[in-house]
Amino acid sequence: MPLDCRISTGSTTPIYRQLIDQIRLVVLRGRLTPGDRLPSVRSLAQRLVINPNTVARAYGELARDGVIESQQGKGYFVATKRQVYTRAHRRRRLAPLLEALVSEAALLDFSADDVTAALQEKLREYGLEPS
Amino acid sequence: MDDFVIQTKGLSRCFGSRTVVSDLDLAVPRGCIFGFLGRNGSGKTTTIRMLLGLLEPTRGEARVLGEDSRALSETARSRIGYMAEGHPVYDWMRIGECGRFQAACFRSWNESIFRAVLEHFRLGPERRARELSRGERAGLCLALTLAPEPELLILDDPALGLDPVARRSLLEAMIAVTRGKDRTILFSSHLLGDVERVADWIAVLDRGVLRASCTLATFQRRISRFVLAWDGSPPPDTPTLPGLVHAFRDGRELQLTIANVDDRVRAAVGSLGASSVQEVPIGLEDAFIDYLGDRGEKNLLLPDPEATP
Amino acid sequence: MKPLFFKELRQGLTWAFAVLAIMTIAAIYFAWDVTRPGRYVPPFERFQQWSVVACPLAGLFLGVLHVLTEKRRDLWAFLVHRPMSRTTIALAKMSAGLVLYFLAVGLPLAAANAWLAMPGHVPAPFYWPMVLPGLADVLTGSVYYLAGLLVGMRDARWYGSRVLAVGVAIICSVIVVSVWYFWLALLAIIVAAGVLGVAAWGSFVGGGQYGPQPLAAKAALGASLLAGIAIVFVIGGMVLAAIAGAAATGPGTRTTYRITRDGEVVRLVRDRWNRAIEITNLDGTHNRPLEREAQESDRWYAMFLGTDTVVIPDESEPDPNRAHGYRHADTFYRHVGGVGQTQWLYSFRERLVLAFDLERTVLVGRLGPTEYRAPPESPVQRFGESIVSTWGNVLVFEDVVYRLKPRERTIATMIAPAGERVLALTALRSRDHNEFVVVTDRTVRFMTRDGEVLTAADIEHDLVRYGYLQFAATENPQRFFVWYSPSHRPCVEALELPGDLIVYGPNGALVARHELPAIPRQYSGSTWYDVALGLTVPLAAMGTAFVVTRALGESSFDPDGPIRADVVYGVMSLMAIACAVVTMRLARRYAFSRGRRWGWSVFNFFAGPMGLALLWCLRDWPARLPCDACGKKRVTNRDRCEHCDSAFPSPAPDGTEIFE
Repeated sequence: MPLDCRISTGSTTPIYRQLIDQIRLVVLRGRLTPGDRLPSVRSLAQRLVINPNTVARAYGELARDGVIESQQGKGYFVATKRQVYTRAHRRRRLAPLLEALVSEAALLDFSADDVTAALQEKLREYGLEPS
Repeated sequence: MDDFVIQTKGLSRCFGSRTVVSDLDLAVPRGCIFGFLGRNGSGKTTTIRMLLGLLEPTRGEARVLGEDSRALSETARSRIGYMAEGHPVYDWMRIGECGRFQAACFRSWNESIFRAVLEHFRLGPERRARELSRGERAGLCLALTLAPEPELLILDDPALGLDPVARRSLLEAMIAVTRGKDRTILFSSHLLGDVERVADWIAVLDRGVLRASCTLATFQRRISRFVLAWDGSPPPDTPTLPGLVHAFRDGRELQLTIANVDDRVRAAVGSLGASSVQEVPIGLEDAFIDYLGDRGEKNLLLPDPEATP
Repeated sequence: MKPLFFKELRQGLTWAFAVLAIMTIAAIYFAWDVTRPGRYVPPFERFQQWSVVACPLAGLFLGVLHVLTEKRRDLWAFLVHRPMSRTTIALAKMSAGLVLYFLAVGLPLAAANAWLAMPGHVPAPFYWPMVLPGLADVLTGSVYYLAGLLVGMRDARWYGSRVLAVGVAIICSVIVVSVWYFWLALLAIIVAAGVLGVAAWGSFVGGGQYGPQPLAAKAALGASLLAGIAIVFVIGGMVLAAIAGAAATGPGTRTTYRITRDGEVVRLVRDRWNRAIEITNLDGTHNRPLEREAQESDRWYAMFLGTDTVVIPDESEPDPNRAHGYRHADTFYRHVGGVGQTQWLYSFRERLVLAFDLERTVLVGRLGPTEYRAPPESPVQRFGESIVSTWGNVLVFEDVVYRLKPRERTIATMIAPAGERVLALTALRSRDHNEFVVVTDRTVRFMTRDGEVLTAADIEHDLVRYGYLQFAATENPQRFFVWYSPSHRPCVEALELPGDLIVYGPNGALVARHELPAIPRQYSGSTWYDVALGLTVPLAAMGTAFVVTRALGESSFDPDGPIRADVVYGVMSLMAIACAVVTMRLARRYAFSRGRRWGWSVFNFFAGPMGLALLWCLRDWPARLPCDACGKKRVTNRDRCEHCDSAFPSPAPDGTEIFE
C-alpha cells in the first residue's frame, strides 16, 4: 500500500511535522493497518526529495507516540494501537485544538448542535462511533 | 577520523580595504547536507573559493578533509567534488568528451553514475556543451562532479538559473548522493524551498559575518514571531528587546520577529502593554527574510498614493 | 598530464590554425617578394626582416589567448580543481601551447626557407647557417608565447604592470638581432625563456596573484617586470634627455681639425646646433675670411675636404667577414658589382665570385682568380683565405688587391705588394671615389683604379697607438693627406697624444707636416640632463656598465666625457639613499617581515627608482584599516595589530546569533 504524502515547502509547518501528521492520518483512516511495512527512510526521502534525516526524525517521533514501531534490521511497521501517554497528557494535547474549533465555530455563528453533529460525522469517518 | 569535514578558524578575506569574509569559524559535520545561506555579496562564494584553495585567505585558516586549504594534496582534491558557480564546462567539448577528459584526470570514475545523471537530465553524449541550456549544463556539471564519487561535495549555487524541473532533478541527485555512508554536501543557495527540503544543517552569512550555524530544525525553533495588538495606539518607538530581528507595524498591530526567545524575552514582550499577545508560527522563508533583513523596524518609505496632501 | 595536454592542444587548435593561415599567406607573399625578378636583394636577410617581427607577434597572440579564455573565475576553478598539482596543469598547458606555436609558425617558415634554399629560386647562394636567423626568430617567438601566458595570467591592469612583463621578451629580441653569433642569440633566448617560463608557471600556481607564488617565481616575475620598467625608463629618459638638451644653456661647443679645400689645416669650433662659430689657424690666429664665409653659409662643411677613415682592425676583433653578425647576408657573401641582369657576389665560403642572373634567378658562372667557368664546371683555383674587405668591386686580400671587371668576366690585380700585409683599403670621397688608398703594415699608397700608384709613403706611426687614419687628396696642386689620430684602444690616456697630419706631393714627396695637439675634451652636456640621468638610472645599472666596460678594456664609458660625473654620481647616490629610505618606510607601514623589509630596502638602494616602480607594480601589500584598540591603521593580513598587538575583534554578537 503506497504511503501517499505531499510535502509543501514555504509553509509554517516544518517538513518533519507535515510527515508526522500525514502518516498519522493514513494510519488513523485505516489505509495502513497494524503490521504493514513503511517505506525505508532512504527510499521515502528519495521519493519525497527531502533530507533522510528529516524522515528519520519523523519516524522517530511516530515511534515514540506508538503509531509505528521499529523492528531491528527489518524497518518500520505500523504498530497495533496502544496508548503510550497518560490521559492527562492526552487531554492537554487535545485542549488547544478544541479551543480553536469552538472559537472558530462561535465566530462563524454555528450553534452547539451544528458543531456536535459535524463532530460526530467526522468521528464516524474515522470509525469512532459514540458508545 | 574527526567529525568535521570542513573547519575554519578566523577565516577572513579582504579585497582592498573591503572585508568580504570576517573571522569565519565554520564547522561542517561529516555526513550532513549543509545549506550555506546568505544574501548576494555576503561572502559565500569567496568562502567556498578559499575552502578550495582558489583564493588566498587574508587571515586565518581553513581545513578541508583535515588538510590546509591553501595546499590541498592531490589525494584530498580527488575526494572533493566541486561545482563552481555558473556551471563551467568547456564550450567546445562534446558531452562524451567532457566525460572522458574528466575520467582521465580523476583517480576514481564511476561511469554508471555519469551515465545515470546524464540520462536523468536527458543528455546524449554527442551534444556540444555550447548548445546546452542552463539546466542541461547544470546536469552535465553535476554528472562530471558526481562521477568521481567524492566524499565531500561542494556546490556553489547549483540551482542558479534553473527551472523548477531541473532544480528538482538536482535535489534528487543530491539526496541520492547521501545514500552513501559519510557523504557530505555543502551547497550555497538562495532558494529556501530547496534548502528546507534537503538541508539538515545551515549556516547563515551576513555581510561576511557568520550569524547562524545550526541544524535547520534548531533555526526554525529558535525564531519566533509575535503579533501584538493594542486597543489604543501602540507605542511609537520600536521596543528594545534582546534578540529582536525584525519589527513590522500595521495600524494597531506590531509584528515582532525574535531570535532565541526565552522566558525573560517573553516577559519583556508581555510587559509592552499590548491588549493581546499571540505567538504565531513562522515559515523558514519568512524567518530567513526577517533574520537577514535590516534590524529593527523598517518600512519601505514610499508615499501612500491614497493619502490626501 | 596526458589528457590535459591533449585537451590544451584541442583547445588552442582553432587559434593556432588562424595563425598558421596568416603565417602561410605572409610567408608566401614575402617569399615571392624576395624572389621577384629584376632587382637584387639578399633574399634570406630580407625574408628575415619580416619573420623577426611576425614570430613574436604570433607568439604573444597565442600566449595571451591560450590563458585568457580560461581566466574566467568559474572555468579557472574547473580547470584547477582536479587531483593534479598546479605545476602539472601548467606544464601541460605550456607544452601544448608551445607545440601549437611551433607548428603554426615553424611550418610555414620552414617551408618558405626550404623553398628559398632550393637552387634556382633566388639569385644568391644558399648556405645552411642562413636559416639560423629564421630559427632564432621562431625561438624568440616562443619567448613571446611565454610572455603572453604571463601577461594573460596576471591579475593586474592591462595598461599598468600587466603588459610590462613583455619587457624581457623585448630585450631578448634586441639581443637576438644585435649579437654577432647565433649561439649568443640562443643563449639570450634560453635565459629569457627560462625567466618567463618560471614567472608564467608561478603566476599559474598563484592563480594570477603574487602572494601565493613560490620564491623563485616571484624573483622571475620581478625580473620580467623590471625589464619592462627599464624599457619604460629608457624611453622616458630619452624624452627627458631631449627636453633637457633643448633647455641646455651650457657652452656645448665642439672643436675639431679640418682640412680646407686649399689644403690648409684649421681648427673649427661648432656650437650645440652645429653652426660654425670660430675658425682658427693652427697658430691660434683667427682665420677671418673663412670664418666670415662659414658664418654666412649654411653649408660650411662644403668648404672643407671630406676625409675617409680607416680603422686598423685589432687582432682581438672578430673575423671582419663576420662583423655584421649571423643575421646578415654580408656574413656569407658580398655584392661586388653587377652589369645588367648579372649580379656578382663574392662568396666567403666558396672563395669564388659568383655570377647570378636576376631574371632567371640562376647561377650563370663562377670566377676564380684565374678563370671564369659556367656551371656545372667550377674554376680550379680559388681566392686566398685571407680576405680583408671589399670595397665596391675591389676585393682586398692580405697579399693582393683585385678589381672585378664584370663586363669582361675577369678579375684584375690592382696591386700585390711583396712582403707587405694589406690592412685596409678605402676609396677617396675627395676624389669622387675614383682613387683609392691602400694601407699595408708598412706603406700607404694612393692609387688609381687601374693600379697606378700616385704616391706612396711609409707608415710613420705605430698602428696600434695610431689606429685611426684619415685620408684625403686634392688634384690641383696634387696633394695627398695622411692623418694619424690616436686610438683609444691601448688606453684612455692615449687619446691625449697629438695627431699627425702629413701632406705628400706626388711620388712620396713630403710637402708639410702638422702636429695637431689633442683637443682637450670639455664638458658639453647640460646639468639638467645630468641631474635627470642621476635621478632615473639606478646605481646598479651604472655600476654594471662601469664594470663591464672596464672588463672589456673599453673606455667608451668615460666619466669625464659628455656628462659631469660629480653631478650624476651625486644625484644618483642621493636617489639610491632616498629610494632605500622610502622602501624602508613603506615596508614598515605595511608591516613587512624583517627579512622582506631589509631585502627590499637593499634591493632598492641599488635598483633605485626602478626598484620602487617594481615594488609598486607588484603591490604586494595588504590594505590597512583603523585598529579598534589603538586607533592607528593596521594591516589586514596579520592576526595581531603591529602597533598595539591586539587581535582583530570578533564580530560583536547582538543576541540574534543561532548556534548549535
